[in-house]
Amino acid sequence: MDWLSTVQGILAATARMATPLLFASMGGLFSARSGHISMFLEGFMLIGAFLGFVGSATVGSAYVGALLALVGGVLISLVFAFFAITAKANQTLIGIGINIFALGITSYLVTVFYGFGNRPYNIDVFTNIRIPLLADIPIIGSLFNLNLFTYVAFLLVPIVWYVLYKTPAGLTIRAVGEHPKAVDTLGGNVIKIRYICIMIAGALAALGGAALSIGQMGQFMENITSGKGYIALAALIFGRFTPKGALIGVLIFGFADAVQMRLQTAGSVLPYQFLTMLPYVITIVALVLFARKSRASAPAALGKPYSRQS
Amino acid sequence: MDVDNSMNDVPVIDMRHITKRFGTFEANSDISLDVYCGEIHALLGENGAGKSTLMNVLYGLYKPDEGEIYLHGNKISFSSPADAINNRIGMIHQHFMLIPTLTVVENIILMSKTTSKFHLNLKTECDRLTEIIQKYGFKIDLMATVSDLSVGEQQKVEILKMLYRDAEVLIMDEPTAVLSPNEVEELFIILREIVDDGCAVIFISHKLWEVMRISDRATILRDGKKVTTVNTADCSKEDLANMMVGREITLHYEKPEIEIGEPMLQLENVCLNSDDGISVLKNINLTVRQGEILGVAGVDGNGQQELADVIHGMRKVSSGTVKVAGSDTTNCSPQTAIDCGLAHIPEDRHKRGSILEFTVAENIAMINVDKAPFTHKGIYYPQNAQKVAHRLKEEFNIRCNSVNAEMNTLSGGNQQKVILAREIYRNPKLLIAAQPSRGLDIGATESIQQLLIDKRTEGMAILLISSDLDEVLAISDRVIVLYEGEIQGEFIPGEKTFTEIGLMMTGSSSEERNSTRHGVH
Ligand SMILES: Nc1ncnc2c1ncn2[C@@H]1O[C@H](COP(=O)(O)OP(=O)(O)OP(=O)(O)O)[C@@H](O)[C@H]1O
Ligand SMILES: [Mg+2]
Repeated sequence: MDWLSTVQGILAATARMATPLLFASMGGLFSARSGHISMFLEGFMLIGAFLGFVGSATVGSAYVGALLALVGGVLISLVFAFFAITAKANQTLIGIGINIFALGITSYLVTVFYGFGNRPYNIDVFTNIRIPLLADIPIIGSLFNLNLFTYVAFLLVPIVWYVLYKTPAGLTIRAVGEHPKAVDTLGGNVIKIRYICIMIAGALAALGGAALSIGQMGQFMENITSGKGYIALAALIFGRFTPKGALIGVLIFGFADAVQMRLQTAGSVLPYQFLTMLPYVITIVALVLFARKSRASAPAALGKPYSRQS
Repeated sequence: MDVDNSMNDVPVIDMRHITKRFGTFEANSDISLDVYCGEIHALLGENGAGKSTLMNVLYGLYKPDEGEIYLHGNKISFSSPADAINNRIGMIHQHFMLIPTLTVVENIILMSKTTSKFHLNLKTECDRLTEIIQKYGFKIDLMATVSDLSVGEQQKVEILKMLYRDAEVLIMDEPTAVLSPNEVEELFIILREIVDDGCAVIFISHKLWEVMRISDRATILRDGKKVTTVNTADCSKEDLANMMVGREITLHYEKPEIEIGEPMLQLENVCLNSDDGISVLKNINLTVRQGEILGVAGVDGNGQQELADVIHGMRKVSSGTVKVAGSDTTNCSPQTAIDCGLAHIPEDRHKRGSILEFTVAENIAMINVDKAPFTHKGIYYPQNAQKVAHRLKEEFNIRCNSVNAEMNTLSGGNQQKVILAREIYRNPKLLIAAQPSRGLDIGATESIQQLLIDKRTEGMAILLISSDLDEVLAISDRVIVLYEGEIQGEFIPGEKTFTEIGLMMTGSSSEERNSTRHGVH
């Protein structure tokens, strides 16, 4: 009887833990497939987590929080796009710059807004929505009693797959990441397409952040993302830049995280810092094992700014 | 007839007094060009004469600094290739614009008006394409991945891409440079059909016999200026060459008899299997000695690339031995082969021989960068690289604004010359020259071929790999023919007729000689 509830718990927790990562990696698919080194996911998530929290705490509606996160994510992504696409600066450096900036500004502002002691708690969050009938299925029923973020995140996978592989726009995006000049010579606007892809990445990654602050925790603390953006990026590379692959990568991490939390609550002999580290270690090991193969699948124009030189 | 005349009254393309500058350098100065429907118009000129630049202006990739373009008599101004495509102008670039990881059909429909904006059904798109394919009799698998296609097939994809967009004017920048003779014939048939349909083709090539064969008129450029436009039928090959270069071109070489020296390259029973187990080199035995040029003839893709790779150490043999300058280098690293005295001018100089984002001087210093004069006591001296580059620029007549210009600002042919110059400058004992004159104008071809002969006379051993039979026969001391990874025979130039060699190149034995002559249409 007990193990049944454990399995149910771990399943639901895996889905929950995977949610922010899924948003970020689905966004990252757009930026990476159009030819960008997507180091920035961490920073975009952090900004989204912060704005989601602020929106919810100020207006009293989690939906407003999510909307604010989305808008903020698009705005910060434009900063990246400007430096990477228009100014043609090194994308890894801009990405790291954005991540450090996001960490600094959110830590600072949260103190300015709410002081040290009295951060709002009890803010409006996305609560679990129980899907009738499905939620009654034994064992996997727990997967149908989760919040809106999680449902949307998992729906995103087939949607992103469809957009990338089953629409003309998706074909163009993939082509831009492989051989931008070919698209240019066919009359495509490489710069515009790349800007749009970065904005999609910004919007989705920021929603992933909001899924943490106003989906999971109902709280914002400094560095709340704690490297989840990097894990999302790792999942992308591990998944050979495909939606399905990224999903698997994210689920590995989510599962490891869920198990790790179980062990913590069950009172393991291992120190909890060690357990918290576990999912990251597992993800890195998985990444290293598959990294050799995935190099070939990276878009050929990854990290290369485009110019026509006229 | 009447219809034809009225159509031909107004040129479909009329470029007037076009000037295009890069910085202070004038790549095109005051060039005028008119092209009519139903004609194949050749654009001729040496490397760096400004042919590609002029076409990029027409295609909307570059904005002209001066001059006007008229389309069917109406003044137009393109700000991007999208405008050109919408006005039914299509361009096939010197370096293909295909995405290797995508399928043929995906490459063709990319950025075009598909059946639905929201759903991409490759099957439907394929069906829409088959009409064009059948009309021109293409043989191509639409669902194949482009990286699996031969260059000839890739070119057909490029042509299809433009026909699918309903192009009325087709610009082709050196379309034949990478094609085998058969593929050239096929291309010419297609081009004729296209112009008979009322389209116009602008055709750039360095091979004058092709220009004589296929074009109706020709415009000749020299140093960014227009020399003249002529009716091809009124000219001879020699006339065209003289107008292009401004001097006589002979393509006939003095080859002094010399003593043959030590073997510098020995392959014994070399076999190579590809990753999927197919045998790509079968029992190759060959020797190249000091002071001789061994020509490897054959249609592209019959193991030439693999042969070079095996000697260079880029691929490991399945069995057999490779000796460079007497030392066994079988399955050693490329560096070992280089240390033994090998230099290699690779076939694909864009992908393997050069770094396009680096300057000319840096590309020249690249392989020897740790040696004098580039590096002295562990310190790299860029000014020495520049000095060497400068000397080679003069010696090989490389046209670039300066040796500090990035490689990708050089014209196609001049990029090739940089690599050639670098490899020959190293004065190797053994030189593998793969397609050394591909993409070079006739003047440069002449000087490169003469240079190879001179180096051979000085005692260098040279393995010349070329799909250009004229080239192989003109400068080799001995010739082998490669077909499907196997040596079909060896002879001395002059011993066999063109037809006999052609048959060896297609693997046909002598009994079949009468039945399998490939026809010229
Ligand atoms: N982007 C650029 N920046 C600076 N110079 C350039 C650029 N593109 C071309 N050039 C210069 O303009 C000249 C003409 O180049 P172009 O490519 O038109 O020659 P081409 O006639 O096509 O030669 P080839 O037969 O070798 O292809 C060359 O000297 C080249 O160095
Ligand atoms: Mg050119």
